[in-house]
Amino acid sequence: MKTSKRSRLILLMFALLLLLVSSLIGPVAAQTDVNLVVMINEGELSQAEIDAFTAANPGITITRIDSDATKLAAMVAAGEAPDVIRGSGAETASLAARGWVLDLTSYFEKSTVLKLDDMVPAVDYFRYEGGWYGMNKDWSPDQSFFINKQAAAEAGIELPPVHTIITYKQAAEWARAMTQAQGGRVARVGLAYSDYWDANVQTILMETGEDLYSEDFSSANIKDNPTVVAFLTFMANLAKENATFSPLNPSPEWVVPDLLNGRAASAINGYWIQGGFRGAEDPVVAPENYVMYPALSWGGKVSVNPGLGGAGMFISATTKNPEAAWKFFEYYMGGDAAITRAQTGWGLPALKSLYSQIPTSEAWQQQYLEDVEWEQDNTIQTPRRINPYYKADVFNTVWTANLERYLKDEITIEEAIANLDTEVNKAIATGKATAGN
Amino acid sequence: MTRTRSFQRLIEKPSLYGVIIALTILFMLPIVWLLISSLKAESDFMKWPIVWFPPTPKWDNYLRVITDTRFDFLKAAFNSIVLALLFSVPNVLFSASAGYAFARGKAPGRNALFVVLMATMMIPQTVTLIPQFIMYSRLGLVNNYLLWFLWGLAGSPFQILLFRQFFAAFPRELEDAAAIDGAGRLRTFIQVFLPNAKPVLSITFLFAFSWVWGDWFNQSLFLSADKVTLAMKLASAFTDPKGNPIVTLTLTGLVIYAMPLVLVYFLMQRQLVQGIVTTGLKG
Amino acid sequence: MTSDILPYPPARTQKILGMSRYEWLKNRWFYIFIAPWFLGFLAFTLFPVTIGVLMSFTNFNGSNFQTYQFVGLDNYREAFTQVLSSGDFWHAVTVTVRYALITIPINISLSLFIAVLLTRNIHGQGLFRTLFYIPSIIPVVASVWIFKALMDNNYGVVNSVLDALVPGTYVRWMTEYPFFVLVMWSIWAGIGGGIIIFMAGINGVPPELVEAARIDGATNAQVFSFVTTPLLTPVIFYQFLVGVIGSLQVLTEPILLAPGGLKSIGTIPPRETYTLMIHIYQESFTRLRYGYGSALLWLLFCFILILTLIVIYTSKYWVYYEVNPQEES
Repeated sequence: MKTSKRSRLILLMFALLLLLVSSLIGPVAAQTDVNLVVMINEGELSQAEIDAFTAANPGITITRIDSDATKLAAMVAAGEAPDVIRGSGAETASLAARGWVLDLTSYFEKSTVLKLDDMVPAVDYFRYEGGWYGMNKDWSPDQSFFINKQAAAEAGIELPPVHTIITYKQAAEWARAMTQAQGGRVARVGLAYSDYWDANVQTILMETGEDLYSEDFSSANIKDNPTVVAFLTFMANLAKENATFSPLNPSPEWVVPDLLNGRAASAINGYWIQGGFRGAEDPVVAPENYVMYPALSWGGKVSVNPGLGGAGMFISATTKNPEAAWKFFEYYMGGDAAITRAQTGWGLPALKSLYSQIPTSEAWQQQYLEDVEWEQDNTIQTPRRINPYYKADVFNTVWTANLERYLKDEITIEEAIANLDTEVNKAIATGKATAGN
Repeated sequence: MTRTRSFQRLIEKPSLYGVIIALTILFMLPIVWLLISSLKAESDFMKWPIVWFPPTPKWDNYLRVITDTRFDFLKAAFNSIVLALLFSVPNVLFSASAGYAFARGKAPGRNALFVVLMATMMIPQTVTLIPQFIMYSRLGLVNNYLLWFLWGLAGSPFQILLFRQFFAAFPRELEDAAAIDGAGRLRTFIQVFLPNAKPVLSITFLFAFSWVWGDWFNQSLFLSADKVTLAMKLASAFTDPKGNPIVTLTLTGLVIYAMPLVLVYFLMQRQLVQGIVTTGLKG
Repeated sequence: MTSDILPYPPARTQKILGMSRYEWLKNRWFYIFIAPWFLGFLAFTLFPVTIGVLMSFTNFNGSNFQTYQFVGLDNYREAFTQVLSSGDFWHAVTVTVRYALITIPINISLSLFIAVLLTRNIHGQGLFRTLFYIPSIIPVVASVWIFKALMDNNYGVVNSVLDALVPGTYVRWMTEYPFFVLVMWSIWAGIGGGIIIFMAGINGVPPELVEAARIDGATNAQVFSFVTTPLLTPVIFYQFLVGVIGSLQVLTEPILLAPGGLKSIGTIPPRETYTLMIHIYQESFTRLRYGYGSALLWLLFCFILILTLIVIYTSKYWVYYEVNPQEES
């Protein structure tokens, strides 16, 4: 008797479960609205902004999903790509070459909100073979130089006036002087840099008009280019001296908290960190302590600051609702969302007409803006050439792995650079083989 | 001979307690540290030299994590519970039935099917990630809790194997007695095997439940932000409105996240204590 | 021996699944009982696996549906070239094998040791067992955060303790000794399940057997070696199998433990914990070489399959079942 009661109980639970399941999937069938799937992180598109958009556009609903390369690859392969995709301008070439994203030229030409003559030059990163495939939500020339005035003074460094072009060698010397290390523990590194190594290398090559890739993008010249070898060796040795973050001593966070907490005394980065500086809650090092200089120069003659590409948005080539997706695109890039974004100063707006919204209430904000404007006129900001045949992540991950081995004395710097050369060229070759036909 | 004696000496009670307590403390320290850190202010947590105990415990860390409207902890918690139950209930039932079949069945093809079972256990899930994603997308199962229910129906090789090992060690006399009463296979399974399998049922339920509760990979791959679970939410840190991570509040959230499992486990103690293999033998 | 009531002699000779009607009726319960699992296997495993195998012979890159080509054994050939030249693939294999060989023996022997201690008729058995199991039920995301807080290079507890004992000591656990951290983590997080299962096994040893041995003058150690252990072999067998399979597939833990790993699943861990699955993941999703990635997965799969078959087929020589399924039928 006892046991049959139990089996009835199991059956009952099971029936309840089925009921629950059917109630969960029920509502899906009743939808007639256009639902846009937008792949973008929460911090970049708030629920309030989604609500404002759907209120103004009845009949369109938004499903936001977090930005993730794996998930995007899987969704595209499944034929279920998100309608709107967040991505970097540096990805435009490979996304467009693979046919993942829509050519938006005709939409831009018709738009009254997003006019092509209102775009800043950085939006060129989103062009491929003449077409416009997307647009920055914001951007910065990402290789400007920030230094902690107080840390510099303590180390006996006399800083030059603003708008001076500082060399890598000079910055490295300062970095060594400002590094606070005791035994293996590094309380403060002298210099923090972003580890987009392909961009770093391309930037210094652009000083002399060279490039990392061959004319047709079929190969990368790394180990036989003395400038590249010298630069990578220089940066690797700086890491070995603990004067920068490295694979063995990585930043626990990212550049903004590193600077505000005094874990780094200077940094190669972009104007956009202003957005993180602004309104920081009791920082160890206050934002006004940082002074901004133009991008560091390798040769000492010119400064190059093309930026990494800027974060922006694309529309999927396979979207079933391009008109609705474009409406959202316009709202996000030119509507209230864009104005709010410009006011926070997370980077510079992509529309010239929004420049008046950039925050300048503090003296340091004013200085950063002046530097950025000076750099726009006095440094080379032509976009980098983006290789459509491979994801530049390969360059960064291969170099990081080999740098780690070099820092652990497992291989020489020559071997590390040779490995980088081999791996990058292999990745380009396979990419070209699958994309070329 | 000396080896035996030293082993015996270790087993003597006072030193026995000493060893057990020392090991327990060692294994508990990380959790104690989690609990302490969950009550710290962020600035104390990041300090060097270390601040061992918070000068004033910040109990409101707990309130802040739960009530923060941007973080929306409670919604994620509800989603995690629904998802875990949808999977674990059918998973345990159908794993038990398959495990029983493998332990007692003599049908042609049983051994071949058992090899298949073992093989599926070893297929890394990522092997089939892209094909699976394509399939689920076409069937409308992406961003849909139904997927977990279907996974549950299929049982899982680990659980089936556990049931099979358990049922294989079951004494024959029990089912022979049931057979004399004229019971069929289904009745034997439900009336003899399942009631005597309480310990293994609890273990498998706990395994299934905590697998879903703790699984971050599948949830972040197959679910969207509107169906966010705790595993997805807590993988990235709790952030202030500026986007700066606050590790202590994340740890506070993790204490609340891990607690239900610890509770479920405590609730199931009784069944587990009865011992696994002996249950059927005593009768 | 079977209890089912069957029509006998068989009424007809009609065949079902190659069985006589009698055989079918006698055995159909088996097929019905395993049906949910088997259908799930077809849908969730066999079908995607078949596509995965096919993919390993192509240059599929995630979007060249129309233009992908069959490249024969090229992907497999490249893998063997990597082995010969000690490339990244080979490095990942050595890391993974080292991980398996270190963690499995430690995990099994330590959990068996603790289980034996806890079943020595002590007070608070249940409490201790619960405490040891807590790390296992703490979700991976949480335990990784805990380990980061403990072992962090800069504000971690371990370095603070070391510094207090020997002032000036500073070890970069997370970046220079990540393998050690990974092993510590997997022992900490993995031991509870083993303890529970071993304890259940030990408690399941019929007290009559133990008493009988005692009467014959056996010591505790002898009872353990000659009575308990033989009865525990199915349990050890299970633990060993699960251990091998699990540690060869380790993927998320090194990623999550790596600096920045909680932020992105694409994070590459330090070289010491660069496991095979991570290499495959990188080849597939960073380099978009699904074909090559699939080929590597099949190599891994075949390796695991061979290992497991060896374990299964040798188990009859050393595993004791009360009802030995191998001897049936």
